[in-house]
Amino acid sequence: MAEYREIQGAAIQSLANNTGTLKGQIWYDTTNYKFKVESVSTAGAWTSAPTIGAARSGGMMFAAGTQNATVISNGATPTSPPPDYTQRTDEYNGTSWSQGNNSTQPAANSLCSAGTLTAGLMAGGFRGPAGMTNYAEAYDGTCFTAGTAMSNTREGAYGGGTNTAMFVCSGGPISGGQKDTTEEWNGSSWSAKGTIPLTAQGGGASGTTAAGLAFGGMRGYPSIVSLNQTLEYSSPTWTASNNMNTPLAYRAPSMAGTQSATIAAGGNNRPPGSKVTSVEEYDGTCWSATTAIPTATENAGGTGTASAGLMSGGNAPSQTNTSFEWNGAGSLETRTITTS
Amino acid sequence: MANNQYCTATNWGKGFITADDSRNVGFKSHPGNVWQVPANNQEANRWIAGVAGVRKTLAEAQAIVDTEIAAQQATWDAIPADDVRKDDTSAMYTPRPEAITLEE
Repeated sequence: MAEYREIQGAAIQSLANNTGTLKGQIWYDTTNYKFKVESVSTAGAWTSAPTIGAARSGGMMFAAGTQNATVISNGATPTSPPPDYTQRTDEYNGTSWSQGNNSTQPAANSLCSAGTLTAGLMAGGFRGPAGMTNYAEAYDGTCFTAGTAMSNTREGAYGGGTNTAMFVCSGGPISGGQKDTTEEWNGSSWSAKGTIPLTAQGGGASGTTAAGLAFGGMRGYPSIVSLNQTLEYSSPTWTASNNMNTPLAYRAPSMAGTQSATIAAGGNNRPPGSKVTSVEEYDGTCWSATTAIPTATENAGGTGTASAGLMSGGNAPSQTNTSFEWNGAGSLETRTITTS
Repeated sequence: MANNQYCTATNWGKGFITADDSRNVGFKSHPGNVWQVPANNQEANRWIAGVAGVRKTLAEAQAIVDTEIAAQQATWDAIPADDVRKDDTSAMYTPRPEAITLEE
């Protein structure tokens, strides 16, 4: 029988724990006394991640970044008496959550956001009795800085892009006055762009100003219904694409996803407002169902990409500090070699 | 024959549900740290043992979920009637937590 060394030209290494980095790499795990292989997943998977320091929900709460470098700030908390919104900020480094500096603007819920952990921007939101806001605030990885306010107040708006090229569209209030306008931030000012045929709020968004995506949400007053519409953005124009399979609001998007690869997790279907576990993936043309999240959740923060995402917090059914990582099909994963 | 089995286990974060677990087991979580996994499934049995899950009968699991839901309903009931979360014409509307019937 040929030895591994003869086939591969090298002996199997002895390494500590799950240290594989290359597709097809085989090694002996000296920590767990098992042979391991760095394989490629054939289906997406949700894996448990550390809990956030504070439970909160908030739809599109500020949740900018990637799977291993993200920040979540503001949102609704479970403290009593409700409603209670928080300025609290938490950062995730792929291993653990740590508390950061509070935002400086009044606490809000249903903000939209763009950018990364070290170059983020959040805008709009709902502040309870104080109503909607047009505030914008930048985050540099350490501190928040008040930015130039948007031209419009919006709650639950759809937002995406970067901290120097962000699009914001639609948004509430749902009791009349939902918007169909788009405005863009170019790093120094906001300017009006094209209208979007999605007069709604509480949906998801991803991508950039050059290739953005907005989907789902809800509209209608007094009878509110969830939506399954999908719109693609190429500044300044929105174009309709194929609908999601299920009309849902408050889905967690993979915000760093692209116009051709985005995940939307959980959400609620109105009426009656039940929370769901379903997840859909957009490939640039169609939505298809993929691996469900373990817990029915709405209003979670979504970050990362369609291949490496993160869903944090949300209502499940009340505010939670749970987070789950998403690893899409085709991602590297360490597997244990067994005799079975 | 039961299709599901139940346990209680506290999600400690990374490693509680691995990618392999996610693909091989199929989870549903319920209030009260109640986890539902397939019955008569070696991967599910290994997962319960690996997370030090405490096995519960259907009735026991249902009682835990009922207690947790009742607490959440009481919290919801304590919200003032004029709060936006009780206004089903509001985007912030959150329905009263519904009873969950676990499946055999």
